[in-house]
Order: sequence, then structure tokens, then C-alpha cells
Amino acid sequence: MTDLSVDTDLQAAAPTVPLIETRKLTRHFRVGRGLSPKLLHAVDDVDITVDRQEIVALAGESGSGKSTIARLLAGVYTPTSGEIYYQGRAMSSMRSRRDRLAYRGDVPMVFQDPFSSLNPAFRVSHGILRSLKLHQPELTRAQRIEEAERAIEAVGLAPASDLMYRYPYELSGGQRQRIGFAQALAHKPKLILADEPVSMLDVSIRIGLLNLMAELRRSAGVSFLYITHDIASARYVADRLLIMYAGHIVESGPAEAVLANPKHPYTDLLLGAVPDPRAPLSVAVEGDTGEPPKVIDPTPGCRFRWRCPLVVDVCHHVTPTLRRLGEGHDAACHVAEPDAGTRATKP
Amino acid sequence: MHGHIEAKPILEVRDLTVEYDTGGDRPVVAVDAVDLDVHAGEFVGVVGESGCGKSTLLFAIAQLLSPPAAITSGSVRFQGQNLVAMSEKKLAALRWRDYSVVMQSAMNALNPVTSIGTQFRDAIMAHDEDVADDRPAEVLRLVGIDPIHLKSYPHQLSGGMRQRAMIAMALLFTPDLIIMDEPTSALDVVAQRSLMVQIKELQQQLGFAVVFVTHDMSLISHFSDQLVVMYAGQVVELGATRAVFDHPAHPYSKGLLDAFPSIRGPKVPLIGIPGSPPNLADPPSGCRFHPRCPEVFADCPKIEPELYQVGAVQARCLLHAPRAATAAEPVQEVRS
Repeated sequence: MTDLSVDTDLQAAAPTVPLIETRKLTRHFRVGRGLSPKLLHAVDDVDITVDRQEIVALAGESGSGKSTIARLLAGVYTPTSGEIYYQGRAMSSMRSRRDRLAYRGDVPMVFQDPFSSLNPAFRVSHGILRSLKLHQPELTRAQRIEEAERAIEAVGLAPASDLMYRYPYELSGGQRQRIGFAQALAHKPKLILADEPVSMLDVSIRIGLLNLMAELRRSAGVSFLYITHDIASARYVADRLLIMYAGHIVESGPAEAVLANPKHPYTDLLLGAVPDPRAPLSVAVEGDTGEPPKVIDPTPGCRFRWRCPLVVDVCHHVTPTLRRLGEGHDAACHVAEPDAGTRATKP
Repeated sequence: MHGHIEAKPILEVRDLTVEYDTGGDRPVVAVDAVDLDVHAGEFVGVVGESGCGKSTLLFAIAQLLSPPAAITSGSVRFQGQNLVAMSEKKLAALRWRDYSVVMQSAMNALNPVTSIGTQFRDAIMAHDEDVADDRPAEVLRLVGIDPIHLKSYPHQLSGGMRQRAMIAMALLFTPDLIIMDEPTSALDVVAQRSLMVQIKELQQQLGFAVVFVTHDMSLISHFSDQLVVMYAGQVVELGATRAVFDHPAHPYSKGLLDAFPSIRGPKVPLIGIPGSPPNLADPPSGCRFHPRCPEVFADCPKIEPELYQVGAVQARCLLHAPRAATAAEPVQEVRS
């Protein structure tokens, strides 16, 4: 393990199996106590695939369940029902410590807040070295340091031999987040779960980290699940875009297609919220004051119906499922029209 | 200075300098000789990266600085009175009533162990003002929160509602000026947009002026009248918001404008602004932006630029210096 080149063996071995796939992934949380136990449906029946060297963006508001998906994929939460398949293998069948460790090395996570995700009492290389020791116990101390330097240089921090001995307070927010990526990169990952990695950073710094993600995909062959509420940055880096609302995926498709021709009214709402100085002056945009509902013991029906401008009768009774409405482009909406020439079917 | 000559500004900041005494040889100059005018009912946006001094500027205007930060020169005239020279007792009377401050993190700014209504009443009692009993309910309704939440505690509200409650509190006495320090930065884009629309509507309805600090230039593009771009403690560009957006004169403003991807038009690779803001304890010589500037030339490290008039805006960039100031004159002494 001395370079970051793409692991070609695995690609050749399983060309058709997606890198990671979820089927009917569901996670509920118990809320309320005693005699009135209730279930919060954080994630319901979510099907996601991420292919090799693909960047998939998962976009939605606070509370829509996007971080819960990341934690399910990272193995922090166990699913209430449904299954996660990693390279075709069900995660529930990975029971040994060795399997679990290998999975966590392959699918690491980068956290939102670079100010609290690094231990202030240790040098920034501490986390990288510790996880190298855990995942690759065969390495000597010198080899670990060499590996850590390589990871730190791969995320654009130079000189690594100096930076790795600094403490977190000595680094800027952008540099700290790069350390977060270096930590994820240390053991040749296949998929990095990036949970809002740039939302705590200055706008001027963000683009550098988005570019870093694109660069790591190219140079290290990593896939990304990029979780964000900023659809403009999702467009910038992602190949495919998933829009999430109240625990459901409501729209998915190639990023450009979803943005050019949004099918779900919620996607329209998200797009309308993006501040864009290049757009003509129009303060008249409706101030939507709604918020995603907390989905507690839901009844059937579209979860967006209370905020939806296009709501019709059927929305109150039937939960819409994803329908194919264009080339690789699905939406879960009763009202959405398919592209010309595409027949609306359940995929 | 902004071309508004018709009315006297309600807030005039002149030559304001704030230093942090670090105990070292030289203090950190976080705000360096800043001039700023805010007229009645105007929305002034202050943008810049973390550490450029924008929040320190707000705190200095509101007289909320605490040691080691101190105003070392300059004046802040609010409705004709110099706040810098004012006693704490007089300031306490002005705060909330004539100007109020909305802080960045509502979760930290609201008291977690008392209800929203109690906190509103505290502010009213502190001012001993004759305020109608239903004023707290009225301001909550103004920001679109059901008055039933007067009984709620901060943790029971969502992030967007907490920020709205903070703004409602700032509106209790219908002040003339509201100072906002990144009130939307903890919110997602949808909540952010709706809060901005709401602030603008309230402003049009009630006529207060706003000084709004943010690092996200795109956020205020449709809302602010005047724009002030700060870098390393200095104002580097100011002018009407549209003018700055359409024809940014300073390379730093251009960089900020090009730093975020768009959802429209062709997808272009962006680079942002390479490097990071300078250490204010030891700012670069000459133009403070020169180490990161894509248009840097020989004079930049040697000459400290002033604010030069460039069309409708003012910019602190030697590219726009009158010719006499650069080529002809001998090189000035460099601060080292």
C-alpha cells in the first residue's frame, strides 16, 4: 500500500455490481416515553446506489434524513429494516471484527465541523496515525508516518512533514477540513461519506475542497457520497443528484438533468432558494416559511403535501413512489409529467 | 460618500480602528481606519472572509467590545451622538431601543433555561419603557411565529425559528438600526432564503436600517443597497451593491464573486481564492492582498493603496490609482 492508484483487481472482478447499494433502507427512532411510544421515521425505504469513481450528491434540508443515511452507511446506526450491500455483499452478514474493520477502512466518513472533529489536545496527525495502526497493524512506525505524510500531501497540504506535527488550533478551517479528508484517505478508501464537509467553511475556501473531491476521485479512484443542502455545490462536483425530503428520496437523476428539468416541486423549491447574483433581481420570490415535517407515525400520503403548490386530492391518500420520468431521471410525485417519449413506469 | 447627499446618515463611522492587545510588541489591528455611512432605512452588507475584522467592526459599532479588544481611534456617530465617548449607562438606554444586535448563533444568544416570553419581558423591563402587554406577541407574529411560542423554550424551536425569535426580540422597541452578524450562517439554504426575504419585508414595513455581516456575497446580492468588502481589517471596496456585482473593481471582490458555483449557465471550473487571509499581527507590506492577488504587479508589495474612485465604486487597489501615485512618485517607505 504505497500509492493511491485505483484498485483495478476489484473493478475487474465485479464490473456490474455497484460499489454500494441500499435496498429499502429504513431507520426509525423511538421518541416519546412510557405509555405513548412513537416512532420517528428518519429514513424510509431508501434505494441508493453509488458506483466506482462516482460522485453522488444527496441534497435536502436540515432534518430530511441525509445525515442518518450517512451514518447508516458508515455503520454507526443499524438499519431498522432494509439492507446495505457493499460490493454485492450484505452488510448484515459482515459480523466478524475483521470484516467490520475492513469495511470501515473502505468507507470512511468526513464530518461537517472541522473545529470539533479534531481532538484539540493532539497533533493533527494523531487521528491518521491511530487509524493506520488499527487498520494496518503490520506497518512499522516509520511506515505509518510515511503513509500519513502521503495522505496529507494528497489533500493539498504542503509541506506534510511540517503540518502533520501542528495542533488543530494552528490550522485554518479549510486546512483542518483537509486533514479530515486525509484521515479518510489514509487506508485507500473506496467510498468517502462526506457529510456537509464545506458548510462550516467560508465561501472562498469551499470551492477548493470541492475541487479536492473531484481531484481525489481522479487520482485515488475514490467514490463520494456528498451530503449537502447547497444544490449549487452539488451540481459543481456531482455526477448524480439525489433529492431527499422527510425521509424519502423524492427525485434522482443525472445532476444536469435534475437541475435543468426538475420534476419534483420540492426540487423547484430548493433551486429557488439558492442565492445567485447572476440571476436577475427578483426579491419577489415567495418566502416559503415551511419546514420539513418531523415524520412521526406517518399516515399514507405525500410528505411534501403541506408545502406543495401543486397538491391534488390523491396526494393526501397515496404515498408516491419513484417513477421513471426521463433518461435515468426518477421522481416520486403524482403530478410530475414525464419527458416526451418516456413512458412513466415504476423502475 | 455613497452619493446619498440628500439626507444625513443615521450612522457615521469615521476612521474607526480597533486593536487587540496581544501582549506582544505590536497590537493586532483588526479594524483599520474604517469609514462607513448608513442612512435611514438602508441595508448595508459587509462581506469578507473569516478573520477579516467584519465581526469586530460590528461589535465596535455596537460598543460591545471587551478586552483585549479596544477602539484606539475614530468615532461612531449614531443619530448625532458619538457612541465611543458615551458612558455605559447611556449606552444601555440606547441599546435595544434605538439600535439592536442580532447575533450569529441564536442557540447561544438565547437563554436556554427561560422561555422566549420571559426573555422578551426582561428586555422590556430593563428599559422601563411603557410597552403594551401584547408587544411580545405582536413582534412574534411579525416574524411569522405563532405567539403560542412565547411559552416555548429555545430548544423547542427549530434553528430557523430561533433566529426569527432573535429578530423579533430585536424589533421589540422598533429600533432605527439593527446590526446583524451572520444571522443565517447556521441555517440551510431554504431557511436562509426565507429569513432573508422576511428581513427585507420587515425592513420595508418598519423602515429600520440594517448592517448585515456575512461571508457569503451571493446571499445579500438581492437584498442590500450598499456593499462593503473587507479584507485584513480594511475596507477594500465599497459602493452600490449592483455596481459592485456588475463591475467589481478590486481583485478580491472578483475572487469572492467567482468563489461559488452557479445553478445556471454552463458549468465552469472555479478556483476560489487561493491561500488564506493574512495574520493581522504581521500584515503583508503594501497592498495586503498582494500575496493572493492574481493581478499583482511590481508596485503592490511596496505601496499601500488608498480607496480610489473607480466609476461608481471605490476600491483599494493600485490598478485604479491615479497615475501620479504609482509610476511617477518615488517608492514610499515600506512598513516591515
